[in-house]
Amino acid sequence: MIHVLYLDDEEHNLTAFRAAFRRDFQVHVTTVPSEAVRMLQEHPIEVVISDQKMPDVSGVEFFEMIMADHPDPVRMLLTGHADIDAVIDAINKGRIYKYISKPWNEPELKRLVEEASALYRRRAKSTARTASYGKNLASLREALAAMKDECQTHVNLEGDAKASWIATLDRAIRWIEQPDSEF
Amino acid sequence: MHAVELDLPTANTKFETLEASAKRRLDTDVPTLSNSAAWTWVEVDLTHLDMPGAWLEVSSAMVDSLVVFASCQGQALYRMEAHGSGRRWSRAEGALQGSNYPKFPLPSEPCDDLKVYMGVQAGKQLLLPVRVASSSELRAFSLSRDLFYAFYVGIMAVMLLYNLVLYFTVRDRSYLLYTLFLIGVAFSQLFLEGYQGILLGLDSTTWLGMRLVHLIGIFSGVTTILFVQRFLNLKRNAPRYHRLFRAFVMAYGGVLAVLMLGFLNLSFSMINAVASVAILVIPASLEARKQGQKSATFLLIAFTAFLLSVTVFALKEFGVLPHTLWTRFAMPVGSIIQLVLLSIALADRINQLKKESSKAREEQLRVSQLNERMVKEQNQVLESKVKERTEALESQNESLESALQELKVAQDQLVQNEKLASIGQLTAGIAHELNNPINFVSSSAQSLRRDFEDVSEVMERVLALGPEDPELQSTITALQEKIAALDLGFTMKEIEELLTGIEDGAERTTAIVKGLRIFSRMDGDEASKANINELLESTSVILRSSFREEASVVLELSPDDTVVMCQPGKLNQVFMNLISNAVQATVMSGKPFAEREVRVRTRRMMQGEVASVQVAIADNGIGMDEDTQAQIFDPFFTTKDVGEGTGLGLSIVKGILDDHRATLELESKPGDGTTFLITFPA
Repeated sequence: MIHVLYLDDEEHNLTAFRAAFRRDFQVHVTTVPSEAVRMLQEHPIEVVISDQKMPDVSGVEFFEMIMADHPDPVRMLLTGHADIDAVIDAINKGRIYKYISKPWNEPELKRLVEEASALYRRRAKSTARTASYGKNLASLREALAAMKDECQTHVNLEGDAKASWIATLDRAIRWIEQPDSEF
Repeated sequence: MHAVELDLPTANTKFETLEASAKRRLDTDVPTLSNSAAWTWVEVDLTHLDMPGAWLEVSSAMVDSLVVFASCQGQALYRMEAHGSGRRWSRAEGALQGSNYPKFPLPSEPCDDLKVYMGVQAGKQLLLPVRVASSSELRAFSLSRDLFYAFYVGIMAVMLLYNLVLYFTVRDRSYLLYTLFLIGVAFSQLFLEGYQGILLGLDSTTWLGMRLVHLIGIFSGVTTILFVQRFLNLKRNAPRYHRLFRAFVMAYGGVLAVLMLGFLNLSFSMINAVASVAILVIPASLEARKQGQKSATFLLIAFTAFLLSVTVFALKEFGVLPHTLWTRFAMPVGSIIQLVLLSIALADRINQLKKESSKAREEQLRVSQLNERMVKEQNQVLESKVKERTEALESQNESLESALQELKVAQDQLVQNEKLASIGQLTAGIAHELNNPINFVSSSAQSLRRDFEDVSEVMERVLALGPEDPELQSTITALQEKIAALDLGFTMKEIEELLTGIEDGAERTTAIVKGLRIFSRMDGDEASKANINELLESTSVILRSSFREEASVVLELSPDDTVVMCQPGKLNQVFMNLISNAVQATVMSGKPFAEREVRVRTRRMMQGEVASVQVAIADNGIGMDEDTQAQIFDPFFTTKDVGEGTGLGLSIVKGILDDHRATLELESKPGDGTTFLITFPA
């Protein structure tokens, strides 16, 4: 189930949202920004939706607020009327994925949330892959380093050949450390 | 006739002395009196005179004293003496009176060798014409002479008066000089003929009488010169002669000095010499005429005539011309001709003047006509200029009027824009305000349908349940499982919530629409009764979306009657403007949201019989200093950034409230906030 967080100062909107999407997504709703932050910490939220017009904190400000600790969830802004400044801020400062106007179209919103989630997951997968690739690379480097040690201490090779092996291993290790350099 | 010169000749010279000294004899008809000696003795030889009762006359009026010895054949017959030229010679010791000339009776007895010795004293060098005639002849001549000079005086007097009158009329100095000149000439003639005694009662026995002829000579000379200078305008026409004549005037001064020193004979000779200046008048006239002085011709003729008469006189005196009436009176006649001609010339000057003045008048007329024409033309130019200017002004006025019109239109547009701006602001706010309930109402409705489907599915099964169902127990179990699966408890709770939301949304939507309906009267300018409370409520509903996240707006509305006669649409505009400003002021104060507050209060007041409704809009915002307070109602004054406000809001508010005869008070302090207090007459 996709975990969706929805922040809005209008209680009825929260109710309507939960009622609409609770069958499809794991819905978390709140009217309080700090509560929303807590939810982000407690649940694997993939999509964050916020109303723009709220007292104290605007939607864009909320996104800016959570950006540092929770950069991964895909952000979507919901607003009652097109305020061009809000849109500009949302894109530049809030790094939002989509801008949705009220009243929302339920199937479309559902589709957008699913798309956002897909994006989130793609990103997460890519991140995971990058991480495992890095891990593999590190193991490879260790293996090469071990080989080099072995080569130096135990392998009984004629002078030139031995030095050539060690140099090649060094190059390989250096290449792993600095992938941009030439092998 | 013989002149006898004697040593130390005196009045008392004895006959014998005369007889004895008659050595140097000069044969002459007209003896000349010596200038040097005081007394001159003349011997008049009257041998062969056969004229009983004849008289001897000295035809000169300038003899001052006379002593006569008559002798026959060397024997003195008698001695007579007479004194005082310039008067009627009285019979003094035998001299006959009744004439200006001294005359003596000759012895009545016939004598072959009659001789007369005359001792003459004159104080001037003169000719001494002597003649013998009968008494009646002399008397007749004397009479005719008197008559002539009477005419002469008459003519002179007429011309004198005429020119004097002209002088006083025309104020031309020429006439004055002419009269002086005339006096000089006339009196010279008269004095030369010895009329000073009759005219002035002065004869040569008096000091002045002795010098009268000299003085008149000097006077005549000087006045002649002055007149000629003036008449010929020598200063301009012939400056050379002018200077020369001036020199002669000086010379006359010298002569006067000599005369006063007592040198009578010398001064007389000098007078005669200086008088030759008269000749210079001829070339001076010619020169002046050459310079275009036409009247110079008159002077030329006049002086020529006069000089001719003088010449005639002189020739007569020297015996060249005979002693006739004409030759005797040649000089006075010449002077008459001269003076008359000059008077005519002067009269001509009047003509000249008249001509000149008429010319001048014509010129003046011409100039004045020209002036008039120029003035007329100028007037025309001025008129056309004025017309042009007027037209320019009119067109300027027109363009000003059209500019004013445009300004009015612009102002209207600005006001309209301000109104549209508020409407735009409103629309945006209302859109948002409506979108929220619409959002959750429509969304809730869909969810409700799904919930209802769940519930209805369970309900169908429940309805299908019958007591005859053989597997009742298992069906119930399945149903319970289904209910649990659907989490129907939660669904029911949700349905409750959704319905509440829908109700609330409907309520809110209704409120907004109602507010809008009230607000939609914004453009209606008709006055109608409206409840201020309602207007404020609708305005705050409309504005809520705008200020909801900016400040809390608290309405504290009076339960009393707050209905006033007003233009509700306009008042909505006022309240909207003031409340928006108040909200803005709280935002600008930098306070946190929770502390930002705008309070709107109404109350009904009674002041005696007069009721009023008061609206206070108070904020705890940024406040205003006094400078700003003084300016906020000025059109185009704005504290907002360029492009953010028209600066017309409050000026329109003020205008609307003035129209409502409502007062607007302002209380503000920087940092503390602002309160607008509006009082409507109820």
